[in-house]
Amino acid sequence: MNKVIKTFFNSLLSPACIVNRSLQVLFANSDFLSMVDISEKDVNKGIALNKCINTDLFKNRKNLVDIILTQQKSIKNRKIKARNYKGVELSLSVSIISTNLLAPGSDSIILIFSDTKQKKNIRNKYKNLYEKEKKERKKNEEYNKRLNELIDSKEKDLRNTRQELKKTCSSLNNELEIAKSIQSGLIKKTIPDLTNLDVAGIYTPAGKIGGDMYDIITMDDNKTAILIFDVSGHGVPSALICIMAKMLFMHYIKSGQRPSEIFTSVNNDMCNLLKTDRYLTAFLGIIDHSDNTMVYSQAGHVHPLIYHNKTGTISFIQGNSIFIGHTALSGIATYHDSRLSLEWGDKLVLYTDGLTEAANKKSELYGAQRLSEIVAKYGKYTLDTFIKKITADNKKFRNGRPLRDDFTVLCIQIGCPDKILKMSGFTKENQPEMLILHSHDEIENICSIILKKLDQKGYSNKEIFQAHQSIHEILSNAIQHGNKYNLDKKVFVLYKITLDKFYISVIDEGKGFNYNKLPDPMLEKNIDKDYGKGLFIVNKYMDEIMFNERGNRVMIGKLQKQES
Amino acid sequence: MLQYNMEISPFKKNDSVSGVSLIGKLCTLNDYQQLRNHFNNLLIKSSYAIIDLTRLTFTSSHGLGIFLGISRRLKTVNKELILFNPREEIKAVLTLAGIDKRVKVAYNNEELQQLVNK
Repeated sequence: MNKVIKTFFNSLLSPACIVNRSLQVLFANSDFLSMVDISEKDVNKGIALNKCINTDLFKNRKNLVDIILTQQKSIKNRKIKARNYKGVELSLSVSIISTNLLAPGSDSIILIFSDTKQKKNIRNKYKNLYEKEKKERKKNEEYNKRLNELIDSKEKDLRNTRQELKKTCSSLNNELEIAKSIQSGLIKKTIPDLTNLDVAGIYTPAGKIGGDMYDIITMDDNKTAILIFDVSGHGVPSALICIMAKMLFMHYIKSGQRPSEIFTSVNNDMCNLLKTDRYLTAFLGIIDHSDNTMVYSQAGHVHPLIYHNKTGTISFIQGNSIFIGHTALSGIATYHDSRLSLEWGDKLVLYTDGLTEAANKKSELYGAQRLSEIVAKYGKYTLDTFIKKITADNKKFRNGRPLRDDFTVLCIQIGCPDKILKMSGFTKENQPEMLILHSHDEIENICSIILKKLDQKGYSNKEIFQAHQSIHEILSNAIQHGNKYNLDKKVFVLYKITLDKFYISVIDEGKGFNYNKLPDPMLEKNIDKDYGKGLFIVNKYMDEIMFNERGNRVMIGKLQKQES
Repeated sequence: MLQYNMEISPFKKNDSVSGVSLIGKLCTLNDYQQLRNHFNNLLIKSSYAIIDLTRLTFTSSHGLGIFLGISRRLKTVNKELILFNPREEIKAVLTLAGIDKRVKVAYNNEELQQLVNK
């Protein structure tokens, strides 16, 4: 049989068969075989239709064939009572039509059955299934709806919690930023130019805020206090103690006490106020510029280093006492002062243990030995380069490992800062002293400091008067014409006085002037004019007067006349 | 607080001679202003105004310029400034800067008398 026809019949959802004029079954689809309970073999053997289905309609073969084939009529959905050949009762309807599908001119009949009972059962079954599914679906929908509502509610809660958390984090971050800004405001970023000291400092907290601090405090014209301390631990509690300690130190340093007395006072205040196990280690030195000595006290702090400029050697500052502020130390801690002499060009290296206890990936510590080697190696460098070399070496040693503790280094060089020295016309070998002037009112103070030293070195009254006149004129010019009375600008005064000569260099922060274009004040036409007379007098009184190219520095010099 | 290094003390010798004594150092901005103000506000009736420098120990070149300014202003009203009795150091500065070419300087009482009696 044609394969297409076979496929078509097998795809029908109803039992169907094709019979010939003798009602012998030529083809039956699987549903038909199943319905009448016969096999493919029975069909192949040419089983008769009425053997498959026992019904009156098929018994009167002649009549059926006549109707279908001769009269070319069809039967549609005729209900029949039938049994299959095994005697099982079937409730069927049948549609019958003639066909010549099998071969042109061949008379054959197609019968398509419908098992109404089975159909009804299936319908009921599917209806039940559908109802059940509908119920399930409804139940699922309700469940899903509840689940979605629950998820929405939980998501909303989560969103709110997340927002609250974000808000809290942001608020904490803001507070930490404010704390950082307050703390960093207390640490001097730009260290003021100090008389006879050059200072450079680096502070890097391990977290946002930390417990290290340093400060430089001018006590009077002759004394400067240098302070470094390290509060135990780090983070917010250390930072709070750090800020409080800084205020206490500043208060007592300004009162003019000795370092040991200041430590005692700060210890007592901290013990009374804090009552905690936290403490701090500190170093406080007060440098006297008149003789370059330093009175200092140490409170459990890592020993600072001195680079001795003259010999190129290193020494650690000795002497130590107990730390400050621990509740157990209330009223019982004692501190001691020591004194040492410093020389022009010596460098003090103050630091916290964040420097020496910095570790590399093998957990080895940087250590004081390596620090002293680096200090010795770079001691001759300018202070800015010197401190950068120390920091860079520490970073190189850590090799990518982050800081475990706050990192602070404070370097102090005795003598005027390198950058000022470079501009002054003096050299390191001259070792000049330095004074700083801001306003016109301070000119006479500067003059009196220098004139007093000229007097001590045996210069005559006339020479001192002429020096006075000359210094006053060049300082006045620097304030008036150089800095234009701007109090934010400074005038640096470097001087070197020996028994046979003195030199004074004055540098302002102005644009400079062309000293070659000054008019001769003694010309008849210029006498009435107010300018030019000062430098004219200086020129007459001094042996040397030299300007730098920019014209913002003047250096004057004079030999001491030997009394005959 | 304003800083002064100089004190101004007025005096009057007679109807034709009056002036001020400068005591200390003429070297701060306030001293300059004080001296200028004194002469700006002074109604000078006498023919000569005298600045007594006997006790002036120091003057900057700016101070010298103020002497010149006062002298110029007096000349416009037909009066004259006389600097009186400067110390050796001040005298040297006055000479060096050519102030004595513009302002009369009396180095003692006799010279002062001669100048005011002319």
